[in-house]
Amino acid sequence: MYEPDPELIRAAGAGDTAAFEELVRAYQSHIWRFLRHLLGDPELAEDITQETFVRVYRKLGTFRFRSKFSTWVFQVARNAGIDALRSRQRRERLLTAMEPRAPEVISGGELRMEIEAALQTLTPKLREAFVLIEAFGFTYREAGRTIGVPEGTVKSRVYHAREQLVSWMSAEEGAADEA
Amino acid sequence: MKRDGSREALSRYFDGEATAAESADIERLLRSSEEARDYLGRLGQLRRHLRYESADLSPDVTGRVLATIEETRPRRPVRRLKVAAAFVAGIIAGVVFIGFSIRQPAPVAAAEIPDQVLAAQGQVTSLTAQLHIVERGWHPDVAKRVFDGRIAYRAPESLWVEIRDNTAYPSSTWVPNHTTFVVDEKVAWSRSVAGCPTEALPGCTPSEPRLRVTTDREPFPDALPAPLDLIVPVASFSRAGEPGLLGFREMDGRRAVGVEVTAAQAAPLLDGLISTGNWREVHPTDRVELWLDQDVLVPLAFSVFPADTSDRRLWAIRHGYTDQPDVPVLEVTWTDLALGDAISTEFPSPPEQMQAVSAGFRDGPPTDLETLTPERLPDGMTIHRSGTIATGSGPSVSVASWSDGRAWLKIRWTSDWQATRLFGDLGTLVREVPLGSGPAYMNERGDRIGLHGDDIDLVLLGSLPTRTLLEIAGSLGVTGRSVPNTWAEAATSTLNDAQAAIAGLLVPVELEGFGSPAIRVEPEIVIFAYAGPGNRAFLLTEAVDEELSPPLEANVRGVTVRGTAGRYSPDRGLLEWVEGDLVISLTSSTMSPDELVAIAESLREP
Repeated sequence: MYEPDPELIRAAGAGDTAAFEELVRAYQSHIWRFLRHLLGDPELAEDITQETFVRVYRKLGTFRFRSKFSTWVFQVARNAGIDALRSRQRRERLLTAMEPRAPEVISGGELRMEIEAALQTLTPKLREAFVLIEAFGFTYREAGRTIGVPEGTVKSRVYHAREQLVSWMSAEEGAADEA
Repeated sequence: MKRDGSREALSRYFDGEATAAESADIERLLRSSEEARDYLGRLGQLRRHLRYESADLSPDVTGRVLATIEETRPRRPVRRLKVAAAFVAGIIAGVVFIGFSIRQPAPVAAAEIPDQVLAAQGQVTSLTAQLHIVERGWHPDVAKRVFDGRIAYRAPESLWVEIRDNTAYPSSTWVPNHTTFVVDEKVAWSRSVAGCPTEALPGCTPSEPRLRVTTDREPFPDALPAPLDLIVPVASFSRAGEPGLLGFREMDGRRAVGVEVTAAQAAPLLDGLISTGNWREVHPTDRVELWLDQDVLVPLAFSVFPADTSDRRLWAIRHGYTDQPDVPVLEVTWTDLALGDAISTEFPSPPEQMQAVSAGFRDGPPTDLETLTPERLPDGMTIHRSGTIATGSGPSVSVASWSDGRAWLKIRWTSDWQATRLFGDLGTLVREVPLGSGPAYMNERGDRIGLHGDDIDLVLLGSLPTRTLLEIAGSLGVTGRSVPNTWAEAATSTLNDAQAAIAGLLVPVELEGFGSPAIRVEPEIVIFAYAGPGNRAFLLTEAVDEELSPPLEANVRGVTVRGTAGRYSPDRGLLEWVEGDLVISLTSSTMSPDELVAIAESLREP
């Protein structure tokens, strides 16, 4: 993951719009992908990506260079994403969106979409840890810092996420075979 | 292959997080086990789909982000004092912009709402609206009650709320919960049904309403205050962090922004409606969905949902409530909202048969008012009411107040203070703050500043931000002195004092939604008091000791805190554990155990 020059961060924090724009351009793709996986909704992810960078701008003065800048930006995105999830969960409570969906038959080209759908069957806690590790190659330590839990918790969450997803894949294949 | 052992090790190995020894074991397993190889293959399949995807899919939000921060730049908190009008104008402009699009700057509104609420209070000079209330779970035999009413407000402190109970009760034994309360500057009166425990209903309710009237009220009194959070919920958002954003919608022809807060945070608003009369209770951790007018931050609706926790369920059982997590126990809607229109009718006077109680306030400028008038007041603030309070046993107290719309400021002072604590009811835990050439003392909520000067003791309080109150206090021309060593506040300390008193002291880091703590140091004990918005507050106590004292309640339960075994006492809202040479506790009657555990996990050495 790209780590910007500290001077660039300081300049952005001091109000240099061009410097801040460079930071946005460097991270927006990563943040959007993370949020899309976390939220399962590309449009909402776009909105929350925007919200993330507005928050980053407002909080830049509090960044103390004690962690990687990328980790910090992901922390901000994660918090914004969790806020959005809570908001959406309230609206969709009756739809029980977090419950596992019934397996559907996979046809080859749809596998990516199906994995995305399966990802949304995970609880947000499992999903955020899993996405940071799998989609972005974070270490357990970096992921732990981003979501505010110990490394051991990340390890456990990633494992349990994988267990659920592998079980889901097996069920999918079984359904396909029967069909 | 064992699912819980080998698979977890494979998961770590796949992430490059296994030790060398573990890796060697796993590689042996992979050579011998087809199942292990298959599992690893599936992990790889998942990774390929997640990690490697086209970057072209991602949108470019750069322009929108830059436009948004450009829009919000003027709305950032302003440090100068005489800027309220410009600040409000900037915020209102920003809110209007937000109103055009949910997708653009909407989330910024959530972050700015606490500041917006504080700033908007000066804009509201009068208000009328119809109220509609649905209450559920009040009694097993009356699953739902419905009310209609009216609210009228005239700045700064006159408020009339009339509520009519339209519930179809099972029989005439049940007494409708009709409620009237009126605050008209010096006079406050109410007519309501007396409260009754659920299990004693309906028989215990007196058929005649309870009447109360108070005359000679001082401006903005602590006792029987006008529930001004019904107009703009200032107390619910002072010191607040960023609330959860529910979204935006049209409500009764107005643009509304929705936020989620706890019942503890919204308590000043809720209490404004349900503290008079016979209503059900809500739990401090209940979730409140609050909708505010985007332009003037007046409430338009709120719903209270029961928190889905074991403590909340136990509380409901004790109160005889059968609440469902997704069903609101209280819903209130404002309609036909009119702002800034002259209120056509006079507020009603109390019925003649009501026996009044005098609060002892006499109008008239105190003789020394001129010497205490602040040199610096926010733009728009003008003198409201002033006078003196003389009671038989207490000191003679002078009072002056200023207001701008719903925003208010008050100074109370006396020259014959005899008690051995600060004048002005600052509470037992205060913060010492530098103010000009001497110290001042501030309560933990940051809305009350006390000064102990030569021949004068005063308190300054109001609905303004803390920094504004401090600037006003600093412009009074009164030099504060440290309180005598015999006064209760003499144990007030700084963080440095606390660190020197106890080795390994821990404090919360990145605590959002709470002000700086008031700190008190006693021998081998340090107490931090943190106050948040509304009634949200907690105490952090660290004492040199080796073990917890025996629990006082039967329902204490074990909790893992910071990797060690602690315990939580629901009845006292007390989380406690032993760490090093310290017994540490967090206490709150308005926060959930999960919130306290989260604060505990954030503790670090300063």
